[in-house]
Amino acid sequence: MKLLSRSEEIILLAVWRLEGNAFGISIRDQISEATGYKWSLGTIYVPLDKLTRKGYIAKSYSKPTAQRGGRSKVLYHLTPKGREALRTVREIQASLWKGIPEHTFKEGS
Amino acid sequence: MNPALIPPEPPRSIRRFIRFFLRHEDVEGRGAEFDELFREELQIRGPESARRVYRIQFILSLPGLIANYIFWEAAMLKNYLTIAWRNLGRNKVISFINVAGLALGMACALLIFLWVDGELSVDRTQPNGDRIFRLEEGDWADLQTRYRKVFDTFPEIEKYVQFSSWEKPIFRVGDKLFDSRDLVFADDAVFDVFKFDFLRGSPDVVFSDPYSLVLSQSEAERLFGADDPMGKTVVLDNAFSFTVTGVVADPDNFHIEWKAMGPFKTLPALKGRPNFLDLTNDNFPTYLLLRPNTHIPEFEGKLAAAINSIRGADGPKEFSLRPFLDIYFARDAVVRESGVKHGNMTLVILFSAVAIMILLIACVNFINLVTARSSSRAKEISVRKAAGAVRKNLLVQFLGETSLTVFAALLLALVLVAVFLPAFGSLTGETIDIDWAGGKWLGGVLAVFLFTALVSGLGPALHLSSLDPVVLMSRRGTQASGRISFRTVLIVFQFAVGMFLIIGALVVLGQFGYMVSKGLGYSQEQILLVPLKGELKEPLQVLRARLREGKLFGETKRVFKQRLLQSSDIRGVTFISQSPGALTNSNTWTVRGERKPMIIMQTDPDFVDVLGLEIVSGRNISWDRESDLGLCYLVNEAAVPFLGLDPLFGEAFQANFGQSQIVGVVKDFHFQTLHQKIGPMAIVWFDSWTDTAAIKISGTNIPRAIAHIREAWGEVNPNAPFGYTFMDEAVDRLYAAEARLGRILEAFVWLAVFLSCLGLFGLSAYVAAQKTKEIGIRKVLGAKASEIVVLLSKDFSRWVLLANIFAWPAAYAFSMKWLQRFAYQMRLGPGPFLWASVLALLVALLTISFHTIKAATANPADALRHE
Repeated sequence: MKLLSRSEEIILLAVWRLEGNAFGISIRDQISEATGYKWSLGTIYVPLDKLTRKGYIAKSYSKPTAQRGGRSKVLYHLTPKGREALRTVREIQASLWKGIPEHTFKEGS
Repeated sequence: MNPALIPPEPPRSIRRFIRFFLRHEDVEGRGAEFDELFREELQIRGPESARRVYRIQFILSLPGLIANYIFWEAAMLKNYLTIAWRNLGRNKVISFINVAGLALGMACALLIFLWVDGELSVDRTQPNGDRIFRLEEGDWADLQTRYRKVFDTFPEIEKYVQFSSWEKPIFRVGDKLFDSRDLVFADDAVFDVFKFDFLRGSPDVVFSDPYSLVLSQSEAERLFGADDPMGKTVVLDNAFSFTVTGVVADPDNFHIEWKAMGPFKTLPALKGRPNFLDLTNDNFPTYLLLRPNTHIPEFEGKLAAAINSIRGADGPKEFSLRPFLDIYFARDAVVRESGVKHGNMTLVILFSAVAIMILLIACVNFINLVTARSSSRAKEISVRKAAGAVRKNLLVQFLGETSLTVFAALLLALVLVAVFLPAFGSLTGETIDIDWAGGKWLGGVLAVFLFTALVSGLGPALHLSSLDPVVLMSRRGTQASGRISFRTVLIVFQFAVGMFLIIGALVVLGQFGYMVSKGLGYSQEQILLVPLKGELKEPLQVLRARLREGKLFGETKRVFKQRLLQSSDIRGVTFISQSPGALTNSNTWTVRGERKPMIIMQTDPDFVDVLGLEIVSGRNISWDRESDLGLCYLVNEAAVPFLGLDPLFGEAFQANFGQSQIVGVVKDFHFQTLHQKIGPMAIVWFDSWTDTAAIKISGTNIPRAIAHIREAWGEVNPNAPFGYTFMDEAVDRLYAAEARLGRILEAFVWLAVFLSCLGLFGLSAYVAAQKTKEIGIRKVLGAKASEIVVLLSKDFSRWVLLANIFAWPAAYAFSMKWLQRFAYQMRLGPGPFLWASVLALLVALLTISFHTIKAATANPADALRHE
């Protein structure tokens, strides 16, 4: 199985955390906050589409909102396959991190 | 409504941009997200800041948007490619016709592009081009050497160059003899004024020694073969040793043809005339490199005044500056010049037009075949439309499909260009090289590709994408008659172009045939022209010494002539100063106080006999009367009224060798090409200026006659290479331009006709297939096969005949315009027009007969079981 790229992982996590309210802007805010710099909408659309195509996330349409002038939002949800992918990434990371003493890591930073 | 109450909107153009990049299904959701960012910012910081944020967001998002766009387009592209490939494979004949036709058309356009580009770039590569001017005196482009003194006094003149192309010495390299070819002498400044591409040697120093020679690459190969020419010696006329100091790439891109160049400053020594540069009777083309920002009209006036002040007693002349870049395409033959080659703008335009027409024919084939088969794609279009394809998608798909076909054709065309380049080169009489990676060439290829793809793609794409799926699915209306008429227009156009080209070629070839077969008024058959060289061409100092001694006739020439006449194969020998079919030398006579310009042939008394001229009154100039030499003239009939002498004979007038008179009148003959009307000319016995022997031989044994001439040459002139041409060939060469145009047009005609037929072939196959059932029913009802053929051919014949209506007037206008260039024209009858129509109709019928006969003889049962 192909591993997630870092940006895909971040976005996937953001979609998970925002479950139910994950759409372009909220995802962008979430990851901008976490990473500390502003992501542009365009840069998150590419991984979003890729993830959708791979089946890690699914799209749905919200009820029309007044905020959007009566149009619906596109919402993203994590699929079981996406959750599985995140878990794999985490396991790999954990196994790689294991055995690296905490203090060497702290000194290095 | 108060405008202030309308909430501010994001910038419209950017909004549209974003939406363009978004997928159809994403436009709503994602487009709105951009808007939301705008609105958020609007509430917090106001419209100014909101717009800024929106813009920044757009710019930052652009890479992602584009990447996403490409990602999704690629997915669709794969599907388009699959479909395109299947379509190509489905009907192999038609696909082949499409690709081959387009490839031929594009190859032809590319070849013509190369030629046109070559013509247009002559002289254009000179970096100083806009500062160089040729000084002309009245209608002469050649100027006296003594004017050089004047040039030195003008600060506006940075440098000047005179070219001499008059010297025709013999080259000796080791012990091998060569004719010199296009040898010019030029001032040292030539390499400052003009730029040539030096392969060996440096332009700054090549002429530092007065006996230096710069060779073109091809000339260096001719003289030295594979040896390194640098530092080698070339002996001119067995007397002057020149050292090769430089080699340049062949200067094909320069309007003065030269293959070898020596320094002008050596001419006085070469000619044995130390005061050569102060003289008046040698004339050379003269180029001035002016300082930037020189005011041309003002400077022209000052220069003319200064030159006229040194002309003194010779009387003032008009002087004008011709921009260097205007020379190559200058059409006015009134300027007489030496050693200059010219381009022909009309030909450049004509060929460009022909290239576009042939490409259009190929495109029309394509359009016809694609639209004709549109019904077969109806289902695909319907399904795509039903699945949500909008017109833009279909347009992109069909344009892309066309581009793919055109691209395949382009690759084939490039192969064709590479294969046919040498043949095309020999057709145009020029060697054409391709710089395959050159910017101009690639630009040309791209232009041809885009032109073809757009012209042949846009029409069908618009048509196919406009079809209504409901109508398509119900299988009604696919044969809308409007489409038929559109195709008819295209076919009529094709045949009109084809017929135009046929008529044009017939007229050009007809005029060429008329010119070479028209009685020229003198005999040109079985006359050999032998250029005089070595001993037979007396250097001027020898000539002068001889004249001073009172010997009027050159000893070597006399011996040569007597030796020649010893054989019964030789009918007559005369020495002439120019080719009889292309006289240009002129003198000014003063007759009763009036100055009359006359074209003069310097020759000897045998001229009239050898060329078979007829004396209509008076007598021929005679060997027996020494007083005839230089002072007694024969004139042609056209000169009689021009001179206005009555009585014609006996009255003395001033000509270039003193008080002269006219002793006889010859019947008019074409001493110039048929482009020009016969004007006044005169024949004089003055053999010192003659440079060619015209030898009339009997036709019984030509090789023996030539062997005899060669033998006589070897006896009197052993140190010069012998060469000859037949005069009729030389005369034909005067019409080389017309012959070439005829040949090229002919080639294009066949191509155009072939392409038109290719399209017709495909279309008739389609029409016959469409009518399979109709034919079957007709046959069952008792129609004969011949009736079916007529039925199927009727439409096509009508179209071809209709094309006449357009082709005839256009071809007539072109022919009349072109024929105006000639003073003597063929009679333009209905012949070429009728021939073109008959030919076009025949070819069309033959082409479609393959399918019509097949359809007509088929078993009707098969046809009716069609479904």
